Amino acid sequence: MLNYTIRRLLFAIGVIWAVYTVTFCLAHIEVLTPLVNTVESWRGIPEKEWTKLGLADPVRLKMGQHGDVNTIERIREELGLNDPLFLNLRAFRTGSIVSPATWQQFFTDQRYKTQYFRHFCNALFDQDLGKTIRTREDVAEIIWRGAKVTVQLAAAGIVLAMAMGLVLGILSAVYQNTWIDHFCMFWAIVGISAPVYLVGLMMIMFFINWLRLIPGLGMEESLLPYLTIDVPWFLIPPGWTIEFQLPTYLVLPALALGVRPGAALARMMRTTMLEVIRQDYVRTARAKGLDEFTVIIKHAARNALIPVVTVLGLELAGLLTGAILTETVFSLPGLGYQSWQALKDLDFSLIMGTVLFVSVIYVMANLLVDLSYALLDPRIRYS
Amino acid sequence: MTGSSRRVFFSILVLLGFTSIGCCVRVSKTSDIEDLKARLAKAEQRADTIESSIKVNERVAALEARIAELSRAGAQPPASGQQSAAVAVALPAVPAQGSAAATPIAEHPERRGGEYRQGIGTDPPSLDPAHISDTTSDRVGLCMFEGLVEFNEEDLGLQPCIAKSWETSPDGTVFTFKLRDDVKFHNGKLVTADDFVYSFARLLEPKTASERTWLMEEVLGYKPFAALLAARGQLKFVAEGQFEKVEADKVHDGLLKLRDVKQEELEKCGAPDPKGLAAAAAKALAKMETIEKAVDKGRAELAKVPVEPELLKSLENLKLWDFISKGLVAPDKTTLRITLGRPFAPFLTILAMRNAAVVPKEEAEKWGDQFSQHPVGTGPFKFVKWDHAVAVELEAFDDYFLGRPFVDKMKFRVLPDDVARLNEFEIGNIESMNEIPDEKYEAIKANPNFPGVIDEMETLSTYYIGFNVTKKPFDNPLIRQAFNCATRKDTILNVIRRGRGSLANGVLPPGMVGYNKELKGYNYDKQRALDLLKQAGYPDPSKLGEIEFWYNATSANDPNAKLAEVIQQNLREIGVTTKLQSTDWATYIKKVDRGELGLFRMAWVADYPDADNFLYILFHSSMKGEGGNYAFYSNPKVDALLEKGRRTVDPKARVPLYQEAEKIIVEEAPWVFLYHAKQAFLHKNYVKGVKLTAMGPDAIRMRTVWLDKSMMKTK
Repeated sequence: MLNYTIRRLLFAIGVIWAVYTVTFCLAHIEVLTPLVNTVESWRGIPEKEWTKLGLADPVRLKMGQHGDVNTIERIREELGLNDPLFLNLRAFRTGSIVSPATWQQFFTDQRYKTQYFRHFCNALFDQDLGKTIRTREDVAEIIWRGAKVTVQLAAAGIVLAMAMGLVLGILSAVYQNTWIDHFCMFWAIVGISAPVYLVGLMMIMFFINWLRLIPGLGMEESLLPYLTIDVPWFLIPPGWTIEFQLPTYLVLPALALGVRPGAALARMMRTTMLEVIRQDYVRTARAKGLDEFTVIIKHAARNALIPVVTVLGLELAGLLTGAILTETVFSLPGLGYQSWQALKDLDFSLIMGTVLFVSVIYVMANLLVDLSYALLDPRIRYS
Repeated sequence: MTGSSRRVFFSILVLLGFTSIGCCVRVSKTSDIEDLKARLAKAEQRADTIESSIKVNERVAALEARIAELSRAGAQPPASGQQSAAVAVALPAVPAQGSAAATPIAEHPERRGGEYRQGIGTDPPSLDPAHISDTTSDRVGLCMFEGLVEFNEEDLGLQPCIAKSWETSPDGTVFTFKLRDDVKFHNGKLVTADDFVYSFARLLEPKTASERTWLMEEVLGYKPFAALLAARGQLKFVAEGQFEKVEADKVHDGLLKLRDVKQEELEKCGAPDPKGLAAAAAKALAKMETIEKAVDKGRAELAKVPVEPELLKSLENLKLWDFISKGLVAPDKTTLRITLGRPFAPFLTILAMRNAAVVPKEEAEKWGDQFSQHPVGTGPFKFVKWDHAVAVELEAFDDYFLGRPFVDKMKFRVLPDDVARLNEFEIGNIESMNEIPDEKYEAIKANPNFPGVIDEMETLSTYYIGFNVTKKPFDNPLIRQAFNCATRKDTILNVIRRGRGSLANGVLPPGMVGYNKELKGYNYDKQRALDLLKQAGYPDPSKLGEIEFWYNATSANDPNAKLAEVIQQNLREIGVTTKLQSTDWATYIKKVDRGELGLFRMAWVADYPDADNFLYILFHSSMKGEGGNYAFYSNPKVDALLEKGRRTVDPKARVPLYQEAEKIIVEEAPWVFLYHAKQAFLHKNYVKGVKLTAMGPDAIRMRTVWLDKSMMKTK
């Protein structure tokens, strides 16, 4: 088991690196500053056409419609955007190829004078994700800010999805082919098919505009109802209060986000439950004279959980991507909104930081799911 | 399920639960009385906004009891009493020379109070005047930052703001401002002329990396500094062998600027060792010319260009301040003298832009590039907090030199989705918003019960379709004219803008000084279009081949996509086939910059209300590409007229220059001139004192806006 865990961890690191690199390439396809600063041009080989490919420039975007070549150039230089992406061969221009000093210079150049290795090494060794191009804020801080919202949202979404999925799935399996089953499965189909955007807008219309149950959109503080909890005086020092800010901003987005995975879970749960219910051990449990509730919940439902956990792990990716749309509809400042903004502004450090963060979360979640199989089912043991 | 698995499952669930709960609980110290009072006010406000709030009312009662208890215990009296005493000293209006003074905010106790919430579409990229380059940031910045002068709300003329009065030397190069001595920064410090010198120099300082350096670039001494700096950069690339960074257009640009560096000018601006610098500049110029020739042959040639270390060394110590010390001078605390290298007529107008606002030196230096997160200015509202992507919160500045603004709190709520923003407006969670989705406009207008009022005004903007006049077949003016005649502008205005705006005959929008009523543009005339094409040698228009029309769009529903379809239809009517191409804005603007696109859509909205801001930037040959001249238009006669317009001091003498230039431009038709757009400002009926100007709803001044509480109750 330990062996397996270590192997999986190493593999996870590899996956994260690969995701990082591929995203880096994709993000920079649009800007193609030279991949390598060529020694060839110096050796007399004509300059290649692709150096002219640079299509979009974040600094240019900052300038508005009235830019100025000199200023753009200066800002680009300042932000290190003029450095080659992957390989810096500056050391070999003047230095000899056999001298160790040249090689040392070469390695230092890769670390500090290429965009890819600089960013990657800074993230790895200094835990520094850099500053955004557009707003000069610390990327790590922005991601932390967004992650708080998105994790809250995803957590609430997954809890709702599980509650909804398990209850509907068990109900429809137990009352198979009755109107309860048909009712539950009808809504499960609707839930799977309806896009988040549509569900979100309909919810806004229904719960906010018509019923006025939720005061408004977004994490606006003044719109959130407060609860002050009366804590006995001996529990907190005098002069302190504990307030509970009801997260009403989370209710609708979590619902909208949870509907799809919830519906998928319900269908999965129903199928596995139907299988399990017909097993011998369930019959034995009934024969022992246990009441039906105990049989269903304790003996059947638990054993039906394993495939469901797999689906849950896969749905996590759906939750994170779904969060992008959900956050936009409900005006929540999470990772989704941020990465959308970053893509619009071509803010590479923010894009890369977010990708790194999300891939770590996703890979780790998958790892946890795989490991939890072993815990849930003694028959599965990795060696 | 085994026991351990149950534990793992439970702990995961509990962890998830705690993360969500943990983000909501706030444990806070509330012992001092001001804090309690603030909380009380907050609670009361909440009690107002939330109808079903029994619990909140209970909390208010609890807080009240707590306050009573604390005051009995002899806590410090609240400091707010002293503060309001300071506000009571109303500041008198100071007459200014040349135009009406900024009017102080009249005392209207009944207008006081309330929170004004606006919806904005994105988180403002920056709240630092040196980096504000978009409308959202500008809108927030307007509440916090002020400069020497400002636009008046009637005709966008200039009126004094922090400057009391000013004098211009007859040749139009020296501006002497007398400043008010009673203007305070939000941190309590008085504004002095030194702060202005610092703020303006900060725009020019290369380290600031300001996007709006061009505001101040005419200041005496900056041009030679920038030229030498740019040359040094290029020479260094060559010396260090970084040939891939040496680009032909940048070298050429640097070369032209270096040619203007003269010893007299260096002497005039007080640069150290003007003779040495002039010699270095001459040497650098010679070197740059060699480099340009080498680049033309191919970068490999660059290896043969030796760059002497002495030359680089002579350019090593370039300090901004050495060059502009005579351009920006503060003889005493309330006098500011700005000297320009040569006359620059729009300069005073430019000073009213947000980027030319004053910032306190010590704060700006303390925060560096993080000043944007902790902005301090002199405006009617001061910064409270910036909850990124949620809201920017400002509050009334009690010591504002024109008197405290009416509204207590100003909040900019970030609501990225158009529909969501409108929804928040409808249910009363924001007081106003600027951008109404086009498809909702008519529905709102038609609905008498809609809980809001639309104010509209034609802004100083021109929407156009640009030709790249250097690309075939658009290098032929006849074809450009033909396309102008073939376009049904009225259809475009009606389809895309729902008729909100007016058709454009030329470049300048009505309302701009210099607007030419007599100017004859191009009306829809299919026959004339066909004739023009025939003259151009295309009796059969299909011989033109398939023409690409480019636009930027985010979705199929984008107004630009609709524009493209109309254009395609119009051109089909004269027998020209077009292929529609779209990309995102980032790629689009770069393609336009490089002149890759032959036919493309674009719009220009005024930064400052001066014809120079349109004609010079959009059509002067030095502005080709990035600068704003996306048509790559170049006409020596127009260049000369526009240059003369910049250098002529008398505003009346400038008008015919610009009108003549515009006439030539319209004749040569580097654009299809489409329309000038109206912009809408949607607000609640209880919002009073809003004055929309031709600078658009983003430039609405919030210091005199107030909320009519009697109408709020009955909403």
